[in-house]
Amino acid sequence: MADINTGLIALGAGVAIVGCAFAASIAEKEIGTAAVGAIAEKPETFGKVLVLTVIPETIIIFGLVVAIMIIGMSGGAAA
Amino acid sequence: MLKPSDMTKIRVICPKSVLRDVIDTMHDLKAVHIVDYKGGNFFDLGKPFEENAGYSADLVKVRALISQLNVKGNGKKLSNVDDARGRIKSLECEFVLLTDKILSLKGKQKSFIEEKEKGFGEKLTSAEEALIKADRLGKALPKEAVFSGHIEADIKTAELELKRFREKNSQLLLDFEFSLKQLSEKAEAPMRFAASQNAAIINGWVPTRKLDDLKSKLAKSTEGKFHFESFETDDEAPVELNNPSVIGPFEFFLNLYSLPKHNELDPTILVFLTFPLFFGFMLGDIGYGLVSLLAFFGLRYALRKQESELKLLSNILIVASLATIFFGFVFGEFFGAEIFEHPILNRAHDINLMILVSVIVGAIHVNLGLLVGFYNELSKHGLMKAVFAKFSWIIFEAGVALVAADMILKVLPGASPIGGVMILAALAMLYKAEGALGIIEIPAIFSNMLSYARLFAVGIASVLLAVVINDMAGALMKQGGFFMVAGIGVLIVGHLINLLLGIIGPFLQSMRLHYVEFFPKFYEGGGERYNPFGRAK
Repeated sequence: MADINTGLIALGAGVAIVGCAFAASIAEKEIGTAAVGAIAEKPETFGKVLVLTVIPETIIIFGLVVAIMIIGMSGGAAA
Repeated sequence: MLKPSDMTKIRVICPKSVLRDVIDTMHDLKAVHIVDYKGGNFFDLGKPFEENAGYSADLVKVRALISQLNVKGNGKKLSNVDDARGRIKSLECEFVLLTDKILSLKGKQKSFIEEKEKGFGEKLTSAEEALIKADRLGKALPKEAVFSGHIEADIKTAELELKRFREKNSQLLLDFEFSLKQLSEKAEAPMRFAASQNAAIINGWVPTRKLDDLKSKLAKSTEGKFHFESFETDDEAPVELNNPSVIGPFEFFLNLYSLPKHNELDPTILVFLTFPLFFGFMLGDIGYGLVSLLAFFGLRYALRKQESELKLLSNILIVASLATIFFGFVFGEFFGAEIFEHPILNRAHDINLMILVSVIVGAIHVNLGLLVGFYNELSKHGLMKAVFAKFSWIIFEAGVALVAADMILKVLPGASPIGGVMILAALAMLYKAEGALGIIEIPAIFSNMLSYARLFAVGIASVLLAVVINDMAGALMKQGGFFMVAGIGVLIVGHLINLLLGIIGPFLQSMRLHYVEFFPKFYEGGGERYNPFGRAK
């Protein structure tokens, strides 16, 4: 467990998640801002707007899948 | 259940002498969706009845009182609104008297305080202090101190009177508003009809099952002085979804997205089947399922007198909680702890299997969407279009599966050429049906199936969070003594937070999966909501 390969694999998985997390959070931030503006004007759009805000979740889920595949490709050595 | 209710277009023509009866009958029946007359052609719009001006004026006064008194709630229909105008006027006068009294008292108090700051030296903070001081010094009570104390008491009594006034009359005001609104609606109704000098024409839609009832009730109330037509037309009818009571709450998802048109399948039952499954798959914990089941039963009981969206949500989440408990048994989890030795699927450890299961579920769901799309296209545009537009996708997938089986998995040797031909055929069919845009959508189908990996991702996030909470609590509890209490606290607070996240997250993700991956495969939407005359909004 104490060799550099495991560490690099873990870092790789981490980078996958960090990049996707940034992307998803920036996307949802913009959408969320517009969403709150829409709700302030017309409260009955809350449901539609909530769904729109959650759409970028896909990005981070792909990140998670890639991270797991990276750890898996290393033969589970880092598990 | 699979289609919206059948609607028939109707036209009622009646002399103005019976127009009031016609409007009253239709309003009571709550079944006619009126199509407003847009004016022009040959007829004018009808004029509202004279009493409408009075109703509107009273309605404005009642609503002003309601908002100033900050009254909330629902009104019921009053049987007798004749004395309404007088009652409302007297309530208004009483309200103005009370608020004026409070305002004048507060004005006096303010000017008194200003005088006090400028005038006498000692700062008298309250009547009691002044009294005590005067008593001790043996002086006569300063007039100002008593005055100040009196003012405070007077203000308090006046505010109490206002509060009592509000409590006594709030339900009355709400009932007035509701009844006046209904009367005003009926009195304004002629503006939605076409009218000549002596007759009025009403166009509308009524559910086919209520057609005969409407006709007989109109005949009775107008004593036959009306002309009734019902006819077949290609116009878009309003949509009333028609689902049994268990599936009914899931119309919430359709109301949020858009209602189906009449030539489409009503997907509510499909959502009823798959939404709880996805929710349960993501939350999948017996303990959380039980807690949320109890919570939403409680919520439904608390809301039993109202009709609101929250009540629909509580019904939906009760079904979803049952699915959660089922999947909890499949995964063998109870508040994050693994209670079975060998559960069917262990979420935290069989990761690759879980991803595979999620994507396979995705493939099944997307193909289900394509099959429903095939049925919709069949009923809208005929067999050839349906095969070219929707079935081509399935052939494409089969072709890709064959090529993959041969080249990647090496299971079926020699299948690649067949697969390749199928892929090319599918692309050709898709191009014929939808043009280049259809071809561009090809990669989208794989991205859609992969999107279902969130079933696994959200699930494992919830599981790992619960495991962390359990470990933290366990570590605290091992230290014994006071830390036991802290450990239990961590357990309760942590699992509550995880439960909250676990209800919001899977709910939104399931909803998103339906809206973005499932519906676009077959759903057109855009149906107009059925809004019958007489139903409270």
